[in-house]
Amino acid sequence: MHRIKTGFVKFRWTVALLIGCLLPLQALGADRIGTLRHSVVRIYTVAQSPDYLVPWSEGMSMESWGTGFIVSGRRILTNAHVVSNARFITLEKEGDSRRYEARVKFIAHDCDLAMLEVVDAAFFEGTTALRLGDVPELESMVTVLGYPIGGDRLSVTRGIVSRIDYRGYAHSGVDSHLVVQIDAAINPGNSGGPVIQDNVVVGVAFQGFSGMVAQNVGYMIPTPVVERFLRDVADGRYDLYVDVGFQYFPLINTTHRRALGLETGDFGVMVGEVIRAGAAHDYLQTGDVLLAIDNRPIFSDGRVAMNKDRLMLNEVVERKFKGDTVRLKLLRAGREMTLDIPLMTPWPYLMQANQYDARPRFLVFGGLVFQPLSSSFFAALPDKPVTLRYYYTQFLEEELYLEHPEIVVISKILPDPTTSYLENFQYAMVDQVNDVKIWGMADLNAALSKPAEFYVIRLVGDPQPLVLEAKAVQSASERISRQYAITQNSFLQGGIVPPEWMDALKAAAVAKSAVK
Amino acid sequence: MPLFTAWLRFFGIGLALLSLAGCSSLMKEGRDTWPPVAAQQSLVRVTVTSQSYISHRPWQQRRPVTQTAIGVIVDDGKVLVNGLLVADHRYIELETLDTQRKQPARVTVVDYEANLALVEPVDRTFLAGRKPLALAEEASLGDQLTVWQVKPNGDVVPSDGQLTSVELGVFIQDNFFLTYRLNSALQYRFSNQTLPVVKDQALAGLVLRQNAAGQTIEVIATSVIDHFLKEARDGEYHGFPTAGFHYGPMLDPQLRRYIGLPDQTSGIYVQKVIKGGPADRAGLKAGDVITRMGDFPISNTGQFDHPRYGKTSIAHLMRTLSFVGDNMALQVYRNHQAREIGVVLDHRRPDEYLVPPYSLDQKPEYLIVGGLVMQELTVSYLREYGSEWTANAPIHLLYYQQNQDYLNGDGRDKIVILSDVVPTSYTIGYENLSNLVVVSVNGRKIGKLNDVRTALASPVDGFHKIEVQQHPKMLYIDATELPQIHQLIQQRYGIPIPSLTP
Repeated sequence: MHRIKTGFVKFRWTVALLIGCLLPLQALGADRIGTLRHSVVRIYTVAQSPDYLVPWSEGMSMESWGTGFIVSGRRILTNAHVVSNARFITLEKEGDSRRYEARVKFIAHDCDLAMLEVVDAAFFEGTTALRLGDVPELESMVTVLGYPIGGDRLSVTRGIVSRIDYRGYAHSGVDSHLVVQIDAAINPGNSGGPVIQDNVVVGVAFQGFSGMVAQNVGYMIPTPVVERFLRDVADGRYDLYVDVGFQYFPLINTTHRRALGLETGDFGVMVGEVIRAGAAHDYLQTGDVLLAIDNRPIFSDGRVAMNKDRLMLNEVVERKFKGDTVRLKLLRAGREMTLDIPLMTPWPYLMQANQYDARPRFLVFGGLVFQPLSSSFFAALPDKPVTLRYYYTQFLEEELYLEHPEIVVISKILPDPTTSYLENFQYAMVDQVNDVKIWGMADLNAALSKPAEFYVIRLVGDPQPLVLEAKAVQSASERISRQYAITQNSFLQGGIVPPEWMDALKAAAVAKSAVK
Repeated sequence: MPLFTAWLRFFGIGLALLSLAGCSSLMKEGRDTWPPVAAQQSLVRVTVTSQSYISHRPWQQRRPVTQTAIGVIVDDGKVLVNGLLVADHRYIELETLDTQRKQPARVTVVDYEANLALVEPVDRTFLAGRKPLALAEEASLGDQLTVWQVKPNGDVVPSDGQLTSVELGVFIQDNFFLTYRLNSALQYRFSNQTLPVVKDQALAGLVLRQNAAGQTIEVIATSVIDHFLKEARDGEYHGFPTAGFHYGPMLDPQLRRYIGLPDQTSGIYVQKVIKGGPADRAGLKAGDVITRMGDFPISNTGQFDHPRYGKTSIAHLMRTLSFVGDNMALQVYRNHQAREIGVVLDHRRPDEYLVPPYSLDQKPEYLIVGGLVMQELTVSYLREYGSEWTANAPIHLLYYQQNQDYLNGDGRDKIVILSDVVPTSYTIGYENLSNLVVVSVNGRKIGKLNDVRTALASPVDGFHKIEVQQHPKMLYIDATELPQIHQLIQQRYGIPIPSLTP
């Protein structure tokens, strides 16, 4: 899926010159959007995105724009992707030539929403807050307001609700939530703009397909997702979406149903993979049959009846928060049981989620650069060897995180006399340093900080070790930093592995080796 | 060189004129002394029609493909051609270049790793009186070698090329053998798959591949052909040997100091010893440094000093200059001490790999269990993902293939996969499953395809339970329904159902 990228400022001027002045909006039924137009803002963002191939550098800055709208409490809602990695944000509104500086108050990359606050309260004079409505009916008419490419003034497009479904959100790349597909034109720059029906907001325009793939397919984030975001941040911080942490298999096959002791009919799904780092791990077993979720019967394709519709069962936990529970009714070995499962975010997912507003984590040691495997790092690589691709794509599926919760990659070998023979180690993954198991960047830092004559780095898949002589590293460090303008030797804060998980994995490994 | 071409042109014109005049006796005299004409007595056109299997639909064969080659008569009526030419052959025919007589032939020996094969006419008198080509002395850098191309009418067209480099070239799936590189172009290749390369009227090699853009030709070196023919002549064919270990360079002074290897000693670092292989049996261990092999000291990048070619990869020493059964003495540096290990070299057959590197001339084995298609993972299967298969094949299967010698031995002989599902009313809901690794059937571990047959003998509560490594983890087939499902598949799709009895 192609995410609507916010337009490029330079482009805007070219287009404006070509088309000349735009006609004022008058033929569009002024009373319809008359007051609403004052609640829609244009958002200019100067973003600076890190370069994961040069993790110590500041990265490239880029200007772009998108749309936002005013909601109650002098808050502005927009898409997360409009203001990701922002360093400077300004707002413009209809009928006001001033530009106002804004700041990101909350940003939720997993549902592509962000809330902005404006530095100068004068911004809100003459504006009204928009109200949020319900999920619009299929085939009903909606109006999209925003600042897409093609002109400078507010643009209005109109269409009908084509489809209501559960789909991937391109911004994080790994999350799926409810989306509403509309056939109104949504173009770059529309992102973050309100979709209106009966004078209330029924969605936030956010992504679409490029014209090469499909026509008149635009997507908006429906209000249940927006409201969840607003409720989540009410306590002053954004927690991530929570999940039960398992994969289910539709029970369409009649033999499969009989083997699990089920009658024919349209109910029940089988529990497939249960994620060890997920909420359900101590509760569900592969082969369990799920019959109901929060008292809603589950159909055999994994959908439940909700909002006069059939939606994926995931939708039931979508509105829940960290610490909430979900009630599952299931059949195990012919016995029915009911379980209340406290929800959490299964962290291994995050390895494959696009990262924003975060600095790349790295460690430079002599001429070697170490970085944790992550979506942004992986995407930046010009070539991706099979072993690295396997660890990236199968991280969850084959539970590779149990052995390597944070995969430490030798991301770059900086040419220097001390690294002349090391080029084959590029993109190798670290397993041990001086016989100490490396579970993540922190362990690596500790192992390499320990005085030793040799640092013997063993790599995943055990080819030959990489050996660095301590005195060679000492002699090279200053030279390498100078030559490659390395302003900082490491940045280790953050990371996706919860500390308690790291400790548990290490303890389990100790117990295992004791048994041996 | 310019003189030579001029004469060739002159001769060509003369030939045409003489033929027109119908004076064949005049023409004959000139032809016999002209080397390419004599060459017609040592060459034979080989036409091979082959039909390979589609690994993704293992019951199905591709359309037959016919290829031609120029084979070399080597001795006692046998013809040397490229090995891959005869892969999955259905019919082979020989044709003499001068008299255009044809005769069916069969393969006597084939080696797909070295890409060489011997074929012989069914009627062994067919080549009687022909002149076998002797094997040349090994060529040296700078030598002029001649590629013999053959026009559709049987005329031999020689084209010269200088031997510019001798190095290891890649043959089928990670097999490396010595190749000659000639700078020459083959404008008359006529899509012949095998072309002989000669030096002083003796066989110096066979064309392996040509790089038309770079105007270079890669040729299978004389020593590789020599090894093949010697091995083929002594009765049982054993193939090219391996020692069974992976190695890396010992160049880095930091690594050398850590291991304590004396400055004047060079060698290679043993990264992995393949379980059960010759080196493993001899006691070689990962972390050892091999400093000598047989009579040759080994360089830090794994080369020995070839008497003729200088620095040459040890793969040539181990695989081509040595034979199966040879005892190769390895000088090994381990724990600051030198020791000697004698490795009895052996061929590693493709079926001895966890993921066989090639599987030719045989029907891919598969099973259909109530519509679930199961087979063993092979490189042929991965190659079905197209020329970019190393990028496009499923990543978990690619990883298993590439790291097969490094994966911990879990007792599996092969990786059995559920490759496909034949859609019927019994497999509704399963139709999109593919490339799942089969872990167990009816609770019994699966380490090769035949284990599935054994496991199917004991269904649990009337069902066959198939557990796979990936989501959805388990699948079921009703044991009593198998005959009717299989009958349905045969009727609707015409897919043969292999027997499930062990």
